[in-house]
Amino acid sequence: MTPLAIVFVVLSVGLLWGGLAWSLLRLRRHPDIPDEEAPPST
Amino acid sequence: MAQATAQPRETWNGRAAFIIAAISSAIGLGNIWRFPGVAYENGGGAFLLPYLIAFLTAGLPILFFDYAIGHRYRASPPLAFRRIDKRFEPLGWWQVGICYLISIYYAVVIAWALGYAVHAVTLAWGDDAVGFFLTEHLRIATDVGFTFEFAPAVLIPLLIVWACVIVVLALGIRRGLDRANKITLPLLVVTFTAIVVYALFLPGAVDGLNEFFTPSWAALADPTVWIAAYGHIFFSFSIAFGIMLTYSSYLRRKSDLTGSGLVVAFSNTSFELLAGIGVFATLGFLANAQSVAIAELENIKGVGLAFMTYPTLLSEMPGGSIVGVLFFVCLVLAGFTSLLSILQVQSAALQDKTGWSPTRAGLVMGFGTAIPSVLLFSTTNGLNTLDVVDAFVNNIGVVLSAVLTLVLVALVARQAPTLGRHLNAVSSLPVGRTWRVMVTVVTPVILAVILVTGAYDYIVNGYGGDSYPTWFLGVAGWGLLGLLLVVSFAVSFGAYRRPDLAGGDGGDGDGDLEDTDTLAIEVQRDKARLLQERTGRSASS
Repeated sequence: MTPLAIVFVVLSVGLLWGGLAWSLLRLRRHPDIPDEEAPPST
Repeated sequence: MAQATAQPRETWNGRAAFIIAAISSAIGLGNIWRFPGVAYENGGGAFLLPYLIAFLTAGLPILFFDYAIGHRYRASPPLAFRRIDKRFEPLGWWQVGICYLISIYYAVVIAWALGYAVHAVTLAWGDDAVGFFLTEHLRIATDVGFTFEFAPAVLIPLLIVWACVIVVLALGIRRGLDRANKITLPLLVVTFTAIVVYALFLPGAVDGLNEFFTPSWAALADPTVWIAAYGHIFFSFSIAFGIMLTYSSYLRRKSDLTGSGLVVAFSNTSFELLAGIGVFATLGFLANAQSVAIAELENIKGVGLAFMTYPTLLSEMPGGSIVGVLFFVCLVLAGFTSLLSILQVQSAALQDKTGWSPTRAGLVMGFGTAIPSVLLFSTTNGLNTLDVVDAFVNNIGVVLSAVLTLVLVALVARQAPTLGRHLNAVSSLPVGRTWRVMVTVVTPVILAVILVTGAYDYIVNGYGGDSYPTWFLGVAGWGLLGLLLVVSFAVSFGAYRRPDLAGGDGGDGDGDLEDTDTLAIEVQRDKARLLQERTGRSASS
């Protein structure tokens, strides 16, 4: 691959897949809060 | 007394179920067959810049906007917009109608893919994939028009697709949609990743990747590239035509909207990048095998890519039949969950308006969509009708829906501050002034430009060159949208029959809206308690 294409592969993968990893880690730090009311069973 | 008989609204079985459902909805056929071609035609690697800017300035803000409306007003689009302002209900029905039209033809493409998953076993198209698709598979008619002459290779898979869809819809959110998404999404990601890895080792794959990633800087100065980036992000995220609004209405009261939204958005764009790498690696292989430049290849996106170019390269690829089966199964899986999400919008609207159970609404909506889908699109003129309906619905109908949603809700009703406070009350990532500017100024302006230029082009130049007669565009394009407009207003005049809404204010429900400050205090208190419990558990272990 050309050096320029490699740079853009790294940039794309870093930003998008890195963003996904970051957002998943972020979500783990904020736990899901269960509701008090019982959920409907339908 | 009426309220005592009202059924409680369904909810997702936890945050993970919602995130999986939203990702399954967003990852559709467009991610696999649209993004690579759009990126390539608009500057290759340089397209990444407008794409990322569009993602941050339009994709995420409107996604959060949709979530906020659905979660705060806890209803399908017509009732949610009615709760904001009675006069806005037709906008909700317009979104439901757009979803109805899309689901009618979207199912047909899934049926084609299902048929091709079988054809791929023997590489039935031989060395003429284009001829096979048009004459053998679709049995395409020579004259453009409407007919009841069916193409069996389309009809049979289409009936199978609709049977599966109706079963899932009738089972409701938890037993149907949730389970279907939890099976299909992991299967799709694993299968598609396997195809991409295989493609990377094909001869010529590097040439394809060079072509895809090498930036064309001149493209950045071209406004059409930026419009293409915003247009693509907007279609890709399934935003502003009711899907994300409906899905978020099934979330629990204290759900983290923006935190979940980030995962959904990045998952969608990550999958698109994966698709781009896979598709261009294989196109590089095809160009190499045919000794032509990639730029000389035709049909590199949409129906042409999936059913003409891809079969051609499968015939030349080692292990082509196995890869072919997996590729078309991926299309079926990606399309199936997206179709379910589109139909859920219609089912939810019907439940709100009539008070029917999810099962009854799912069955009525399923059959009500399946019948015209089969009659219109499994015929020998199905491809022509699909092409025209798809172009008008996406480029005019969906964009108009987005513009009106932002203008009416954010600007006319001035709901942006309220929705922002609601997001901040429950979410881990706060939104502020920048978000409000995006949803009230930047995105409406950009989308309005896309709408006006698109509509002007269709009015002046028509659609499809000389492929379609004017009368056909009038009926299947403008006529259909006009009919949808009339129906949207007509349905809005009908009374709500849901027990808790009938006879009162028709569903305004203003008095039922939660106070955001109280909600925020509750969320903070519960978060602190959960973190304390977590810390206590880790200390004791």
